[in-house]
Amino acid sequence: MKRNPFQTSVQPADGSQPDRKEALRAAVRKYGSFVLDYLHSLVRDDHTVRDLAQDLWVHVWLHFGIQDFENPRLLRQKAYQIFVSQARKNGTRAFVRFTNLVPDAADGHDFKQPETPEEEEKFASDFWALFPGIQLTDQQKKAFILKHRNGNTLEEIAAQMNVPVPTVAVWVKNVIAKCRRAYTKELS
Amino acid sequence: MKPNDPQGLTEEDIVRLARTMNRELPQGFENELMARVDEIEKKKSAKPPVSPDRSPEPDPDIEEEPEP
Repeated sequence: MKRNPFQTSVQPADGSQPDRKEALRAAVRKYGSFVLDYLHSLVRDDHTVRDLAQDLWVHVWLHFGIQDFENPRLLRQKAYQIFVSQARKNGTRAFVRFTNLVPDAADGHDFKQPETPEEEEKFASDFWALFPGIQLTDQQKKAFILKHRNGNTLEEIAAQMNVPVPTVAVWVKNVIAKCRRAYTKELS
Repeated sequence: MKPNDPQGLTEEDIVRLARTMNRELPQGFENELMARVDEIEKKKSAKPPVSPDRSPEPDPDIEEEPEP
């Protein structure tokens, strides 16, 4: 039987159907920041982003199958639909990005400090589980995480891993391409 | 790739997932959401359940045909 990579993290010990509220809580903890960040790229106003994200999660709880609570593709698609509906309701055009606040000068990347080793380990297992069958070396995974999780520059990573900068760039690019392929293959 | 494209994840999605997955949420976000969910649940359970055995109310707009 084909493995479903989107099963909820909440699995009762007795094998019964997980509680929808608990499943929602787990999904929000895992993908809440992903949804907020995506909506923030569309709207930029923190209050609106928060409202839209809340609407999305309520919709997920009411209408999604429990196996899709932790499906990032569906979450992103639904977030976009909710954003468009809200824009229509407000009488604004969806492709116009509006803001009530002056956006930060940075490009929107908000890298947090690396968490505790346990949390980072949990992240790594959750993240790579989204892409079953992906074949990457530990070095490639490390380079990708240093770049896109921790926000290090290619030069910093190259110095840390003792490899040339172009090698790191190729590794990171390949990881993204392989992730996309693995994810699409899993869906088809 | 358009946001609603049914094909997998975009490069941007993968990078965003790496940056944000399992990250801490803004303060109060989860509690606010769960309170909203509880409220909806309460409203749902407050509605009287419709018994499946109950025969439907006769529609006043439909006149009964006279028996021959």
